[in-house]
Amino acid sequence: MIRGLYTATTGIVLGVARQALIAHDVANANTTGYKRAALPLVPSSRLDVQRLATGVPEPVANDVRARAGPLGTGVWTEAPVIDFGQGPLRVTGQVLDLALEGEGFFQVRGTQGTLYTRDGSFHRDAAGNLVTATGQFVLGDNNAPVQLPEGEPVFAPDGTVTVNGQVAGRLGIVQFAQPNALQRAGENTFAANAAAVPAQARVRQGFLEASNVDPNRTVVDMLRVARSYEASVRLVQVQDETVARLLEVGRVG
Amino acid sequence: MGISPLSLFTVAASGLQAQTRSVEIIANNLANASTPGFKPSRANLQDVRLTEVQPPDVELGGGVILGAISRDFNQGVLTTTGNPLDLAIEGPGFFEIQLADGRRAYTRDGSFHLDGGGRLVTADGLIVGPGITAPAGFQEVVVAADGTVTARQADGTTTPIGTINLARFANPDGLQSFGNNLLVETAASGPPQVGAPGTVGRGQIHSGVLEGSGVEIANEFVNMLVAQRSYSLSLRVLQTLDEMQRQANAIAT
Repeated sequence: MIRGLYTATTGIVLGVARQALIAHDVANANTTGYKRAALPLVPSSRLDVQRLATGVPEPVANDVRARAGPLGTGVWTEAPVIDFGQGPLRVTGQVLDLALEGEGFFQVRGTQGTLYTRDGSFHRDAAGNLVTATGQFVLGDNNAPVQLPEGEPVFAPDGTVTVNGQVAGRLGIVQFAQPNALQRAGENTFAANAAAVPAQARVRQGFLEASNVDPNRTVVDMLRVARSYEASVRLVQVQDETVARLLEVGRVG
Repeated sequence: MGISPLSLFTVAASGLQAQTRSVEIIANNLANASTPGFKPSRANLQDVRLTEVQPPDVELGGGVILGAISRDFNQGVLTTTGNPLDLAIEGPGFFEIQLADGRRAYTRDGSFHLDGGGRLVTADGLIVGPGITAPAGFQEVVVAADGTVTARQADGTTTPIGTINLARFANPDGLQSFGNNLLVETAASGPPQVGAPGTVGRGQIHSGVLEGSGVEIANEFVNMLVAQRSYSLSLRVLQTLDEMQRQANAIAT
């Protein structure tokens, strides 16, 4: 009886955790290079329920208590998985707007060390460095900040940048063997706990990669979570009422 | 204690706030779709990291924030007006303007005229460059491509009365909006480097021509739709969370 109460509670806690991810996704439906998240659902440990032994002396050589069957204890979750699927490219026509097509990340360096991003809305700072919107250095394939001399930069699909016909450097586009090597680090960046390897993503100049949050799918997910949350809440109420009824019946008086 | 739907209200609210700011920026761009030399701005939205260790060990996001506002300095279309004091820059430079308090501001809007005292001023009456005054009895004032300003008298004699120099910045994106189509320098933009038109990084002056607004109306409308759509989605999330919180509250009653 009370065990059922805990099972319903896992549904409530999980409903909020899933809605937290959806709320974050929706807030970033219009954020350049944003990648949506999903919370994988895994059933919690199952309990083997056994019929209460009546009249059987204990212990016995072979447990002869009848097995009633498995009992689920609700659902639980693992860490959210970031969906690195390609977002739609939108044209901006600005020379320092870069988008990646295919797997890979730009490398940027700020106060938190080297981070990875798909947000290529870059600028040229006063010292001529290629920087992100918040001033982090964009790194080249030599792991040093990309420097742009005066003039109109042209980015080739392989990341090579030429200014006035002279090669000024090449962007260091990298990827990771394990997709779960990356965690969100804010400012549209990801932090890695594994070594990066060169990637083959194509650089598209004058484009930005829009968020890969799909509004329709997200609304459906949100409603689904809200309904199952409601069901879990109802389940708690029903069991609470059942216990109350039981206490009523058992009252001596 | 873990998270409740209530604690996620701020995530949804961050989406409402960021999209509202985006719409404001887009509306300002649209309002200046025919302002000479106007350069449209863009909101750079960024996700916010917020780690909270929850019962399910879920890393939660903190929503979205307006990370930076950047400006698109692409060359606008040059349109002939026939007015010799309408000036346009072809290239990346800026006109230098004296503010009322003596500070300098910079603009691409060259719709100049002579005020009652014969001084060359902007549409708002601010003095252009170092201050150029036409002599009494002049017939016409002519601006050459190199910035030289010449006054022609009724008898045909011409007198040079000054030079309009152009300013360039290492990072024009760092310039701050001062209103009235004016920009001011910041540490991020670097100091102005004032020099003769036609020198590297400044561009040439065209007389009798105005640079059109850089606003692309179709683009702005698409951005507006996306921002409004994202706003509605965040509102929907907020309503759903509200409903969930109401259900949770009902358990205790």
